[in-house]
Amino acid sequence: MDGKLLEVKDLSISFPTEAGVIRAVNEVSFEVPRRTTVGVVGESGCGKSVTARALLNIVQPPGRIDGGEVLFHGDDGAGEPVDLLSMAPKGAAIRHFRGKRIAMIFQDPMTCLSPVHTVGNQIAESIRIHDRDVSAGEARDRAVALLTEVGIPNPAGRLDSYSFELSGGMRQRALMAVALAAEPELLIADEPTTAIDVTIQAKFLDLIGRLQDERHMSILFITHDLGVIAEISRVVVVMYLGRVVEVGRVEEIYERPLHPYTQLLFRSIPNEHVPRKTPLAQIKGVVPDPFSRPPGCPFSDRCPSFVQGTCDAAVPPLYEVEEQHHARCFLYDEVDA
Amino acid sequence: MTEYLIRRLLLIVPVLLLISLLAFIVMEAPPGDFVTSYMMRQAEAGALFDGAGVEEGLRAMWGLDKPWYVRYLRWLGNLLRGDLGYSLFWQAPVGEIIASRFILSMTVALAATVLVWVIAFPIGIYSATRQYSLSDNAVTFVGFLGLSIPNFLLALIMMYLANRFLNISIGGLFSQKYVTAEWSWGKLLDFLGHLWVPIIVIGVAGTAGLIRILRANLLDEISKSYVEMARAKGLRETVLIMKYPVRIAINPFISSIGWVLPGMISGDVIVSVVLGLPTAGPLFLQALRQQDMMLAGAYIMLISICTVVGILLSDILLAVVDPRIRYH
Ligand SMILES: Nc1ncnc2c1ncn2[C@@H]1O[C@H](COP(=O)(O)OP(=O)(O)OP(=O)(O)O)[C@@H](O)[C@H]1O
Ligand SMILES: [Mg+2]
Repeated sequence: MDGKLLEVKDLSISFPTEAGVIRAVNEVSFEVPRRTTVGVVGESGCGKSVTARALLNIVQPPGRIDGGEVLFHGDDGAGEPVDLLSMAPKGAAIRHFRGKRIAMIFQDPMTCLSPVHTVGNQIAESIRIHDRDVSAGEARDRAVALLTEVGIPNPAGRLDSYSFELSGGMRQRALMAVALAAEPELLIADEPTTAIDVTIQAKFLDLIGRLQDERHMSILFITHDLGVIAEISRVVVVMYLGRVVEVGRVEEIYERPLHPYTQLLFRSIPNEHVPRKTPLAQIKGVVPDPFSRPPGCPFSDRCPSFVQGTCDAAVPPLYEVEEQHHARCFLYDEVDA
Repeated sequence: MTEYLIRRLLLIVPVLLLISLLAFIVMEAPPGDFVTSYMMRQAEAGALFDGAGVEEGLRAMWGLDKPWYVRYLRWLGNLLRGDLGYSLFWQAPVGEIIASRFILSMTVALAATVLVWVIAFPIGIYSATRQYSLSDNAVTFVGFLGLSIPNFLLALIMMYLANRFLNISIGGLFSQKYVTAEWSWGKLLDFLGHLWVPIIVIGVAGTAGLIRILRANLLDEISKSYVEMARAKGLRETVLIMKYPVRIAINPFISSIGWVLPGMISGDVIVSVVLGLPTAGPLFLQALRQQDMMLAGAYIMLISICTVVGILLSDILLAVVDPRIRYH
């Protein structure tokens, strides 16, 4: 891996609501190396999307960032990293990063494109926000090139299409073109394949892989599909209830998951890495709602290795169990010590 | 698009025919006719007639003795030729009586509509982009006040306040000396000086209503992914709000053009009565009471035409700004 591009440190985000404060993200830390795909997995509601938005210093109301840093290491690591969270969320400084250095495609591809603006308009906009010298005609040409690059047939004709005229798969590709228009160094893709069917999904993953090779960008790929993660990412971040519970290289996590949650997660899906004869495991219980989280370790109420007096007493730290492989579980207390 | 337009234009004809029939039936519904109410007024005034003979004579003279469909067809035939009929009460052609008043009504309504838009638009956007802030709550509160105070009450309050504190009388649309005068610069200025009162009275509820509609629509749109997408592209907040969610939230505004204008013309009959405005509304009210059918019918038809044309215009405009409508 070629050094870090982005570093998230102790990120905490909460949503004050009528019913109480939802601590959606708690002290989340991870790194995105250059030219690398990092996968983020976790069950619905564990804070993946909230974390992803925060990387662009975007929080949906009524949310607020309680602490932490998002350090962007520009220019091949030379010079000081900048903390994106220290910038005003509506200011000019952060806007130079959005789209230009970090682009994002949001979770719902069906509504990510404006229904009343053409695809070409939205691609050209991405280009011209960051480069005012580009003329309208030039932006159009570049939009055609981008649509070609993402594999949309008849790209020149598609420029004047509206999103509702495109199929799900084509829409996803058009969205990709919008995101890549300003040539970002990091692409955040929030569950880009969830809404499209499996055959198209496979082609789309191929496209992402190819684009990454050609453009040398990093990708933060968010999904709850472990199969997809295995296919495209090099590093995996496993989240549970707003916390990172395990981080490591993909082979290690698949071969030797450390955290009981990860172990169950990986055993609960049919997978080439797990021999078929082992029965699919079920994680007992359900994800607790934001207001009835267990004390101590967030997974303690569902954990098969639960130890009374330890696991419900404090939140375990993230132990470095092996090189580059961390787990947030007291099982590894001795290992670290 | 052209085909759609032609279809819509052709549709206007049966719609207006149907409206004319309905209008006629509704006008016929109350017991008695113009002669009955005429005789009643004469009796009140102390004039004594030998009842039956005179009534029959008057009915025959004014054609009121014919069956309803004959009268309807005759009325319709005249309408088609652009003749609005003859007012039995005023003893003058309806067109003459109603034209100037209807134009005044349109002017007041149009001015109020423009004002409503100009005020509601920025406040709605401001309010939605600062949901639940102090200013948003203040706007919401004032808006509810505006919506819940009946127009005629507001008119009375304004008249009272103006009289009490400014020592002026704000009824009507013209000062005494201009009421019957020909149009001149002086009269125009005088008119503009009077116009603001009914505009405010009529516009307050409309403004409050539109602010609420725009705010609700915008709040729906602002949380959609395409807005976040635009933000994540690095677009400036004000630019992106105007380009994306406002552009879509404005559709209900556009479709409201169709009914806002006729609604303002017809809905404020009471206000016009209270403020003593020489507009068409009070005339209509009077015509209904006197069963002066041609005059009442003409008013209903004019309002209906305004509505039908307004809705057509707003549908066309909607198709122009929203490709989703254009393509389906
Ligand atoms: N706008 C909001 N208002 C209040 N709470 C919110 C808001 N957005 C997110 N949350 C809270 O943050 C938590 C994490 O949400 P997030 O969208 O990040 O989940 P996720 O991991 O992306 O789930 P999914 O896989 O379903 O997309 C949720 O449980 C929710 O309670
Ligand atoms: Mg999500």
